[in-house]
Amino acid sequence: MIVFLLRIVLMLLSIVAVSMLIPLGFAIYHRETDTVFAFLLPMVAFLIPGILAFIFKQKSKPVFSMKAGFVVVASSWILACILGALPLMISGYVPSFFDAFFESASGFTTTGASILSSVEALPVSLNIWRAEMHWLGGMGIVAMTVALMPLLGIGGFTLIKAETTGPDKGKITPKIAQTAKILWFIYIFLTFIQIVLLLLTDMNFSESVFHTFGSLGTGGFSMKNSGLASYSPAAQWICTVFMLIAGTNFALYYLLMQKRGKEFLQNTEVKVYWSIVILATAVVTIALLPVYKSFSTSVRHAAFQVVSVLTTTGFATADYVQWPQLAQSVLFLLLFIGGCSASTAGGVKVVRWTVLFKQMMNEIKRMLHPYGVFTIHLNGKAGRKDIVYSVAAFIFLYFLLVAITTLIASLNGVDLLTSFTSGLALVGNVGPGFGKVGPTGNYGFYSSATKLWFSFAMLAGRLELYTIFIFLTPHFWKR
Amino acid sequence: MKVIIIGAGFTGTQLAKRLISERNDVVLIDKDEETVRHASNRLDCMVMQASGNNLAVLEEAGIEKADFLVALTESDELNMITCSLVDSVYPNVVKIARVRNSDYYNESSTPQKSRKKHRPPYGINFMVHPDIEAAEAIVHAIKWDGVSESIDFKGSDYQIVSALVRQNSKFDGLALQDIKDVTKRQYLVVYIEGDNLAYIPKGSAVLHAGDRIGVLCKTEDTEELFSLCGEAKRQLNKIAILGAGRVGLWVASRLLHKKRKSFFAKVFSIPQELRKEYAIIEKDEALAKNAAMLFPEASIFKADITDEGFVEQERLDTYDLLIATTNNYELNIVTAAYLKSIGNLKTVGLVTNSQYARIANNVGVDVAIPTKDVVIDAIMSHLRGRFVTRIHTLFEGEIEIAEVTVSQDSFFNGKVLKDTHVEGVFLVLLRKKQGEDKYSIPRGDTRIELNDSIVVLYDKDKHTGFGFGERQ
Repeated sequence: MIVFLLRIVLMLLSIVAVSMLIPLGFAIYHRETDTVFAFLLPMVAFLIPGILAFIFKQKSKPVFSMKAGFVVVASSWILACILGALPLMISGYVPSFFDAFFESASGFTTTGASILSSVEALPVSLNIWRAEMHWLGGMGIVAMTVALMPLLGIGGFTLIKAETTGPDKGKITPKIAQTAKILWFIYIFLTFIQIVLLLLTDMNFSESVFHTFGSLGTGGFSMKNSGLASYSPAAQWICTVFMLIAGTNFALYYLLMQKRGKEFLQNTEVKVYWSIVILATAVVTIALLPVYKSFSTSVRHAAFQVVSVLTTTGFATADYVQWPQLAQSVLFLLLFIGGCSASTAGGVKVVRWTVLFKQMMNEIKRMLHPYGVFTIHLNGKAGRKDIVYSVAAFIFLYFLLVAITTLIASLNGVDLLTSFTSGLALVGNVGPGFGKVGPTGNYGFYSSATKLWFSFAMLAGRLELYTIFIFLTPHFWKR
Repeated sequence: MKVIIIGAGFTGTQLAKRLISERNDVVLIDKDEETVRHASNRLDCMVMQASGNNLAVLEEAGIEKADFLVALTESDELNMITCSLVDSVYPNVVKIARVRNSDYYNESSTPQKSRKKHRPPYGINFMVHPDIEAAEAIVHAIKWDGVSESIDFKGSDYQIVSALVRQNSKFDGLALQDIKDVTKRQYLVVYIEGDNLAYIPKGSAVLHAGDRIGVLCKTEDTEELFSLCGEAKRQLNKIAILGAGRVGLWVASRLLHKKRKSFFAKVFSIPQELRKEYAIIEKDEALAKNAAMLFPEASIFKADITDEGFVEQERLDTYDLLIATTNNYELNIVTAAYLKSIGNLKTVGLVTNSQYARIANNVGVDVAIPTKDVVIDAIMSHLRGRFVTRIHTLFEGEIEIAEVTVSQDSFFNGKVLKDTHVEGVFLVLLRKKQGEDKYSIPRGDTRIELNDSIVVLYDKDKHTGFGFGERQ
């Protein structure tokens, strides 16, 4: 059984290793000789066991349990983070393992929190690798493996369930491998479009690729210390739109492809998500008018920051810590919300808050009508009966993790705002918070042990808590 | 005409009675000894105690010479399978099955559309759905400003509305030919229901307070008709539906999910729709939950209507309309009467048959829908042959209204209306020429032609037999 799981994990990792070809190409093109080796070594080191696992097939296929699914997903994510950290370490730009692991975890979980004070000092290939981790982690490395390797088919759904986000995990096609393929196809298609669009602006090729990976994965690493502030408004708008697209349920794009646009418009989560974006942008724009004096500039900065925080991307075109209090408060509250389920965004997810809101309304109605019968409706249909319980438990666990992370952050002697928003931004995979970890700050000043916990918190947040927390319960270890 | 009826329950025996009175050959088949004994004592027809789903039994009953087979047992599946079985051997017999479960209906689905010219699904020529028939009757009874029994005709703006002439009405003491003096709109009184007696009136007949009249008019003119009859104007904004069974849900879906309107019509109807409130009251928890899932825009209550605490808590007396659709018909009557006594509600209730409907009307239920009679009407429509599309009966069958296509050997074919006219026996209410899509009221000099569609109202006792043409 263990050999079987190990094979799957090794095959998974070999796909991540193969994807290092992209930054390797950039390294060779830009003649960055010091990083070529940094990519080649871990790539070969992970590819060989992967290929071996591929060649030596087992005769019998054991039954793939839920438990095994969780083990595979959790261990492949942790190992992928280690693999991602190796180029940063070997190249010597991030010498400490804890720093490199944090950076890599921040990459794969699409958090975008960095320990680097000057990203401009990094070679292009390393930056591309950082962004590519976002891109891979956004749609999910397991989903990609299931899409590419049909031999994983047996436990594919169990695996993908442990990785995708949102309270309801369905398949859009009868076969999970087919679903994964469609989702990745949509993802790659969007990637192409954004790269082309960004090339038409003032970005060069590597910058376009970098920011496309970042916005579609809702990651948030930047190539410049000032974020996206130095690029043209057109480039900023394009990123805003694609962050919004990436924060929407990808299964819905499949509905659009199927010409079932009506179901897309009926989706409760999307409606709420758009309402939040429009409302928050309007408020922030009004708050910013006295600062920027121009309406178009205010709208651009407001929309960009609102979308960036809501979709848990973490790009910035302005240092919002300097903004008026009202604008700051709106962004702070958006840290609590997150994107749509089954998107590349993290956080609590819009649908969960919607469910709780509807439950609250039902409780009020119950006070007025003690004989009434109330149900929760989502997407124009009656929701599952127990959805409220699972959502409530999730939100409890989520904020428990935020609380612990805040406590651990405060051990480093930072102020309350910094430590609390660190917790929120890391568990929610947003990246930048407020105070010292604002858009111009970074997480480099935290101690190594803290960074290790932070990496754990980001992973737990990305895998929707249970996939990671399951290992901390005695039930898991019982036979 | 020979008809075999399987199942001698209430509907079966009533149907047999109607058919026998029209001098048809009827064979009743039922498994239960007691039921068979009662039926054979009361009915002048052949009654067999046997399983109706057995082909040998059916052959003994004379299925090969029968024109119709009507399956009315308690089981949907038994009814359907029996029809299918007969269809496989005797495809020429017209088969009618009572089917309650609407999942078996596939009227809108593509396979049936594409197979239209071939055999009907399951070999059943007509499926009769008692619950939907009853629910549709309820929906037709609910008007914008009140409730009244009414008869609608497919593809027409006209309907026959039943209204009560009140003390302060302009109609009180008015002769029918003078109605045109008090209103510009077209109202045709087609029957008058006095003291226990209904008749087709002559033009000189005078209306009196307390008369219940049937009026043929356009749908949009019903509002004025009620005010002419002395009814106080009101709008039905708060509607309570009692019972979330099949009938209740069907009524709710018809009331709540109206036809799609254009965007502008939607916007303009918003203030009107906002004032509307719907409540569904159901005792059974599972049914209540199901209703809550189906109708998020309505308030669903899991409560017993006989619980006074609930009635007070939800202020049911403030509602405008109560629709009682439970299977417990006595409860429907009692609840409607009770709520009427504490509030100013209009009430519609399901009852067993027309005798009960009369009692219900007497205790104050505005509209009582006799479920069994509605089903029998639906079956009778199919038995009248292929030129009759629909039959409606009034007053326990005294008066019938038929929607008919004029055939070659029809009584009406090629005749001018005033030549055929006999006062008080029948009335041609509406006519639609072949190829037209709207009915209109014919005049005395109108000539009825082949393939016209007409709506005829006739007194069953007096009419001496005008054929609608050959039977199927």
